[in-house]
Amino acid sequence: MKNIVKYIAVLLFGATAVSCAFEEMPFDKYDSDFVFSNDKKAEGYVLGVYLGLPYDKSDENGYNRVDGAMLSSACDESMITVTGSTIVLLTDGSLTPRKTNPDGCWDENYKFIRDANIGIVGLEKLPESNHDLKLQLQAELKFLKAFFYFELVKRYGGVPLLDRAYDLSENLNVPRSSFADCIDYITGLCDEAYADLPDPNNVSFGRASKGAALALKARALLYAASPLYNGKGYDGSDNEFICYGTYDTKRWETAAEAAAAVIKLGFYDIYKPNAIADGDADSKVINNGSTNYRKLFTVIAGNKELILPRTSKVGNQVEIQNFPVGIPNGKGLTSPSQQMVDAYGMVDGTPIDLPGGAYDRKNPYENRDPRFYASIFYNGQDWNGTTIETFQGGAHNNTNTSTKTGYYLSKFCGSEVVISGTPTKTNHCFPLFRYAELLLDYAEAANEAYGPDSDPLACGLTAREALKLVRSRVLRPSQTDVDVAQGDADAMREAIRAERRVELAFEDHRYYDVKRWKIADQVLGESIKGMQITRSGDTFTYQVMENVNSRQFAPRFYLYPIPNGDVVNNSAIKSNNPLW
Amino acid sequence: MRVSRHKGLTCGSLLLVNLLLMCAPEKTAAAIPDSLVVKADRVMVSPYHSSERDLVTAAVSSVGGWDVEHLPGINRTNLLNGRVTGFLGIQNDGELGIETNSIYIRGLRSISSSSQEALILVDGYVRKDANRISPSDIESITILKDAAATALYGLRGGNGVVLITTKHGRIQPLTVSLDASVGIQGATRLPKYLGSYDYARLYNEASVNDGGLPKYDQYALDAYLRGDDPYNYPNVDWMDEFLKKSSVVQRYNVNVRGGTERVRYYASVGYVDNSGLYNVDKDANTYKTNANYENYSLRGNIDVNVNRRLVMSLDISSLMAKWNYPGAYSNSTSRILNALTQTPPNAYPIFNEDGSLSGTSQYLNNPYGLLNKSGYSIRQTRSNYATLKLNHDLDFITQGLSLYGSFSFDSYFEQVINRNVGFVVYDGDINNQQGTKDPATQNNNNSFSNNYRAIDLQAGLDYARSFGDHNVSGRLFINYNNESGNGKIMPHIYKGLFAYAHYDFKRRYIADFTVAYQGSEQIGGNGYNLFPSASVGWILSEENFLKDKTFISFLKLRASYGVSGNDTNISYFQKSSFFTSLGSTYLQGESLASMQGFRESQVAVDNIMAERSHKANVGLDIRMFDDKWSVTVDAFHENNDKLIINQASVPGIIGVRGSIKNNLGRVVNSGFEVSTTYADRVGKLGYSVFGNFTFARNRVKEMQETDATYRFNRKTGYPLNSSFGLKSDGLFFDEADIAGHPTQTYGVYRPGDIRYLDLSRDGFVDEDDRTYLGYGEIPEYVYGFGVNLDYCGFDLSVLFQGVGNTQKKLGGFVYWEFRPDGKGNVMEHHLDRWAYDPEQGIDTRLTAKYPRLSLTGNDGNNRGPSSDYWLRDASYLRLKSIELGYTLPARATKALRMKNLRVYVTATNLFTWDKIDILDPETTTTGIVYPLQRTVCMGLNVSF
Repeated sequence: MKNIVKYIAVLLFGATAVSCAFEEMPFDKYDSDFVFSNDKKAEGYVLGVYLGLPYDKSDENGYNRVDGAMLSSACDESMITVTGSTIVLLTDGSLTPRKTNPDGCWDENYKFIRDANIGIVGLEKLPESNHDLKLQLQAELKFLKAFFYFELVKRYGGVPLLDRAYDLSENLNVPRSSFADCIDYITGLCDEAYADLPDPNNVSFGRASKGAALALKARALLYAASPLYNGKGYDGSDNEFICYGTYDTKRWETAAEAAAAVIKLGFYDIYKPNAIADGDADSKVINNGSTNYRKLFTVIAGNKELILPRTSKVGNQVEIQNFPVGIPNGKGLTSPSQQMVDAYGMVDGTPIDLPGGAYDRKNPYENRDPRFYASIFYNGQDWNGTTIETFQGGAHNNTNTSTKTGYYLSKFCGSEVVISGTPTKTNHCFPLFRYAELLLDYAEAANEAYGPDSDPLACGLTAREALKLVRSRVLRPSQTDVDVAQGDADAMREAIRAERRVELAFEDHRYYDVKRWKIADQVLGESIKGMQITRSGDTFTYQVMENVNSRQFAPRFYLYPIPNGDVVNNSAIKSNNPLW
Repeated sequence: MRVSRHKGLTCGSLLLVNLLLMCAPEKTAAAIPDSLVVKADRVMVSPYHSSERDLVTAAVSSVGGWDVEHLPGINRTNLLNGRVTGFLGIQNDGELGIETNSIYIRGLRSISSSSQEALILVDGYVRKDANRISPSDIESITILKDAAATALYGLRGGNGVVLITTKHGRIQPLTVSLDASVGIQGATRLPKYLGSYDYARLYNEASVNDGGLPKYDQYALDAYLRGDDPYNYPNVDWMDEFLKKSSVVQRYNVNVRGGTERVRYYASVGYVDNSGLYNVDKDANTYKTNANYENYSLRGNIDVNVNRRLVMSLDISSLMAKWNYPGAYSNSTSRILNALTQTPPNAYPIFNEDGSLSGTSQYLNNPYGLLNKSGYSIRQTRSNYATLKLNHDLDFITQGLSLYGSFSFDSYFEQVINRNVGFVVYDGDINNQQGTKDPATQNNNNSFSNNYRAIDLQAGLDYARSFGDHNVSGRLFINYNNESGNGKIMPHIYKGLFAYAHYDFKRRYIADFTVAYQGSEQIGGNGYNLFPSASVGWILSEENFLKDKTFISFLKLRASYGVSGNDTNISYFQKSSFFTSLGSTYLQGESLASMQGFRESQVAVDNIMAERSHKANVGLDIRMFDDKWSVTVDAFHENNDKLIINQASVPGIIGVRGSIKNNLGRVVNSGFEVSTTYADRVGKLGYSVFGNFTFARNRVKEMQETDATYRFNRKTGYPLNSSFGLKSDGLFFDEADIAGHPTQTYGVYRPGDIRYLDLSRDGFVDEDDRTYLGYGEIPEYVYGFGVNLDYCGFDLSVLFQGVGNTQKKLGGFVYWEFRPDGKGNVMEHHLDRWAYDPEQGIDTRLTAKYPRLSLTGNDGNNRGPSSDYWLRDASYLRLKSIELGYTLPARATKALRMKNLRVYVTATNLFTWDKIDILDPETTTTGIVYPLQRTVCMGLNVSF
C-alpha cells in the first residue's frame, strides 16, 4: 500500500522537477548569432538591405514605383494614362500629412536604415578570419544607409538621424536634425564607405563600389548647393530643417570637387558602342545615337557608364507597362507630355525653336535628337514592323485607356522584346547613378563655382567639356557644343539644365531637380500639353492640346509633409514642414 | 412533492425532476427533495472543482442535462441562449454538423475582435470537438463568469468559461436508455429575388441611371412577362429549384448507467445523421453528392474504488464525423450559395432545349452542374480523448489529506478527400460550349492538413476536513499542458502552480481563495503571470434574525474580486526579436544571381503578458415561499487592462517591420444579470415560469487611437464593436442638390445616391467625417423567458429568447442590387428604389427607401462606405424552442417491463420577430452562409 504512495510521490516530484523555464526563441526563426555566423549568411543579410534601393514593391512591376505610375508623371515629363493612381495627390494639390504619400517612402527608408544599422553592428560577430569581407559589407551598409537618408532628405529636408537600431524600451522620440547636419552625416558615411568599398573594376554588378560612394556624395552636395537649400528656405525663413539660411558659393565648389572625384577615378565612360562621325548622314546619326542610348539601359556587359544600377530580374514588365495600348498586352501607362517632346532638340544639336532651324511643325518628328527616337513612341514610328498610330482613332489611340497626349514612353524598353504570343525578355536594371549624371552634376556645380570654361580641379574637363562628353553619345563630334558664349555662366546654366532634362528624362530626376532649382512653381504648376493628331487621307495635322492634365503647385510642395503619425507619436518633432 | 429546490439557480424545467424520478427512481441527487439533496447538489465553480450550490461564492450559472441533451441541433452551446444568465451565443451559420457560433460571456472586454470569445472545456479540458459531444452524454453545462470562477484557469480564463460536464456512473442498478429522434429541418429565412420581368425592367433602369442604354427591349420585356418561351426568355427561381423546403435529421443514443460502491459506470453509443438542403438529382450519379453530416460517438466514464484508499477514474471519448459535399470541399457551400443568390433569373434556363446543361460565358456556375456534375468530397474527423485520474487517500498521514493525479490526452485527425471534376455548360445548344473546366480532369486528392494533439498532466494534494464549526478544504496542484498542431508551428506549452482553498464557519460565513501562477513560452518576463482571486459569502438565512422570517427560506450575499487572464492575442513569440529568411535577395553580378537572405522580422516586447481582467462581482441568491420562488441577481464591473493592441505610438523612424503588439489597451465592462423561477404544483398541474436577463456594456478607455482627425472621429470612449461610419442625410434629389452639397469622395454619384453629412465642414465628405453611429453587431443584452407545465403525464415547455441594443449593416449581394459587378440579382426591396422618369410618370424621389439602382456599384463606390443608411436594428425575439411530451404512467411502463417511456414533439426557431427581414438576424447580413435551420422533431426516450 505505502509502496504505491511512494511511487506516486516519486511521480509527483518528477513532475515538479520539470523545468520552470520556457524556450526563449522559436526554432523556426533565426537570431542575430545565426544570421551573422558565416560569410554567406552575412552577405545574404546585406543583399537583403539592398532591396531598399528605390523600386516598385512588387518586384515585377517595372519602373512604375509611385502607385503604378512613374515619378515622371508628377512633373512636366508625362502624365499617368489611366485613372486610379494616387500619384495625382502630388499634382492636384490634395496631398495632406494624413494621406499616404505615393512617393513618401518615409517608413520604407527607415525600415531599411534599421536593417543597415543592425547589420553594421551584427557583422562584428563574423569570425576575425573574415576581416576584409566584414569591412566591405559594413562599408556597403554605410553606403546604403547614406543612400536611404538622402532619399529622405531630398523629400523632407532635415530628418531624425538614427545611427543605431533602437530597442522599444528606449526613448523613441528622436528629434529632426538640421538639413546641414543631415548632409554632413550623409557625406561622412560616404567617406567612411569609400575607404572599404571595392574599386569599380572589381565590384559585383549591382553592388556599391568606391564610385557609387563618390557619386552619392556628389549628388548630395549638388542638392545642398542648389537654390532650394543654399540660402533662405522656400517659405522665406531660416528654418534649419529646410535650408542653410544663407547663400555660400563654396557649397558649389565642394559639390564640383565631389563630382570631379568620380571623373578622376578614370574608370567610367559614356556608353556608345556605335561611333558617330562628323561625316555621317542624319539617318546614321539618328540610328547609331538612338541605339547607343537605348542599349545603355538594357546592356550590362561592357557597360562602363552604370555606376550603380538597381538590379532586377530579366523580364518584360517594363515593356508591358509602356507599350502602346493596341499592341496586345501593352498598357501604355505613361503618356509623355508635349513639353517633354519639345525638349528634345534636333539631330544637329540645336533646339527646335532655333530661328531658321530645321524643325518642321508639319513633320514634327523628323530629324530630332536621337534620344527622342529611343525614348518616345510617336505617331508614324516604325516599331519592329508595326506603325505606331496615335492619331485620333488610330490603332494605338482608340480606347479610354489609350494615350492622353499622343505619345507613349519607349525609353528603357528593349527594342526587340515581344510581350504577346511567345514573349521575350531583356535586362532592365534601373540606373541609380550613371556617369552622364555625374558629368552633368559636375558641369552644373563647376559652372556655378568657376564658370563654364575653367577646370581648376584638374579633372580634365570644364563644365562645357563635360556637357560635350554627354552629348557625344548621340551627336556628331563637331555638333556637341552648346550655343553659349565663352564665360557666360548664366547661359551655360540654362544649357546644362536643358541637357539634364533630356539626358536624364524619366529617371526620377526632374521632379526633384526643378524643386532644388526652385523653379517648380513655374514648371510643376503648368498644365500638361499633348498633341492632337488627325488624319485625313495620308496626311496628318498636328494641333497642340494646351491642357490635357491640370497641375497645381503650392510652395509647400517644395518638401513633402512628414507623415502625420510621426509628428503625433514623436514628441521631439514639434511641427511639420513649413506651410503644411 | 417539492420540486424546485434543485433548480434554484437555473431557469430549467420541472420536467427534469419528473423524468429523473421516473427513469431513475434510485438515490439520485435531484430526486429526493430534502436537505440532504441540497448538500449533494453540487455545482462546478471552476474548471477543477465543484462546490455545494448553497455555499458557492462565485458567479456561475448552469443548465442541467435536460435542457441541452435532447433538443435538435449539433452545436450544444447554441441552445444555451436564453437559458442561463451571462451567456450570449450568436450562431453564425447553419452549416451541417458545424453550426458555428460565437460565445460571449458578460459582453466584450478585449480590443482584438479575435480574442473576445469564451473558452469551452469538457470536464476541465480544452477539447477539439467540444461542440459535437453526443447530447445524451451531457450532465450539465456551467458558465463560469467572475474571477472567483475563472482566475484558476490562469492565462485562458479571462473571457469566461463554458464548462461541459459529462455523465458519470451512479450507485444504482443497471439502467439502459434509448433516445431516438427523427425530424425535418428547413431554412429559417432565405433572401427573396425578383423574377425575370422585374429583373429586366430594373436592369434597364439601372443602366440608364448609369448613363448607359437599356439592355432589354419591349419585346424581351413582354416575353418575360408572358413567360411562354423558357429557353430564350427563361425565368428561373434558383433558390426554389435547388434548395429543398426541408431535409431529414435523425439522432440515436443508447447508454448504460449504473454502479456499486466499488465500480460505477456510464457508457454510450450515439449516431447522428443530417442530410443537406440541396435539391440533388438522385438519378444523376451512383454516388451521393448532397451535403450530409453523420457522426458516431462513443463514451465510457468509469470510476473504480480500487481499494479502501485509491479511486481511479477513466474517461474515454471517441467521435468520428463524416461530411459529404458536392464538388470540392474547400468552397463547396459558398460556391453553390453564391451561384443560387447571384445568378439572375433570366441568365439561362437550367437545361437547353436539346437537353444540354445551360450556361453562358458570364454565368458558368450552373447550380445543377455544381450539385450533380462536380463530383463530391468527403471530410472526416476523428477525435479521441481520454483522461485517467487517481485519488489516493493519505489519511494515514493526516485526516482529510489525499493525493491526486491525472493524465489526459486529445488526439484529433482530419482528412479531406476530394473526388471532384469540372463540368462545362452550353450557351443555347450543345455546339456552343462555354468555360474551360474539362470534365476529364478529375481531382483526386487526400489531404491531412489539420491535425492536433495535446497532453495534460496534473498532480497535487487535496485536503478537506471539518474542525467543529470550521470547514476547510482545498487543493494545491501543478499542471503541465502541451499542445501542438492546430495551426501552431511549435508545441504550445502551459505550466503552472495552482491552489484553491475554501473555508466556512457554521456554513454561514464563507471565504474562498484561488491562485494560479501560470506560464507559457509566449509570455515575456520570466514567462509566468499571477492570477489571484478571493470571494466571500454570507448566508443571512442562517442568522437568527432571519430564521423566523418564514417566507425567506434561503438568502445569501456574495462578493468576489480577482484577476483572470487572456493570452490568445499575444503574437507569436512577441517576447523575442528574431530574423526570418528572405526567399530571394537583391540580384547581383552580370548573371543577376540571387542568394538566401535574412531580415529582422520582429522586435521584442520584453514584458509582453496576458491581458488582465480585474473582475468584481456582487450577488444575491434568494429563495422564498418554501423555495417556490427563487431569484439570483448579480452585478459586475471589470477593469480590463494590459489589453494587447498594435503599438501605434512607435514612430515610423524606428523602422520596425510588422506590427508591434503590446499591453496598452484598457476597457471597462460592467453590467448585471437577473434570473428568477417560480415553480409550484396545483393539483395535478405542475408549472414553473422563468425568466432571465443579462446586460453588459463596455467602454474603451485606451486603444492607442492616433489617426482620428477630429474629436467626433474617435472610437475611444465608445463600446467595442460599436458602429462607426458616415452619417447619411437622405438621397440626392437632383443635380442642383448635388451642386449645393460638399464633394463626396467615394466614386461617381448622381441624383438618387446617398447624401452624406460633411461633419468636418471642410467641403469634402471623406474618412474625416466618420463618427459613432450607435450599437454594433454584438447585442448588449440577451434575455429568455418561458414556462414549463406538466399534467397527468403530459408536459409542455416553451422558451422565448431575444437580444437587444444591436445594429447590423445590410449590404453586399444579399442586399445591394446587381452585385457583384452588375451581374447579380435584384430583390423585392429594390422595388422601393429612388426613380425619376417623368416620361413614364415615375417619381419616387421623395418616398424612396433605397438609392437609385446602379450596375456599376461595388463596395468602392458611393454606397460602399460604412454609414447609418445601411444600419438596421438587429434585435430580435424568437420562439427558441417548444416541446410537447407524454410520459406513459408508471403502471403501464411496468407492464411493458420498462422503467420509463416518453414520446415528444419538439421544435426550434419556429418564429422570429425582428426588423432585418431579408435573412436570419443572427447570421451575416452582407453575404450568404448555409442558412440557420428551423427544426421539428419527434422523439422517444425509453429506459429499461
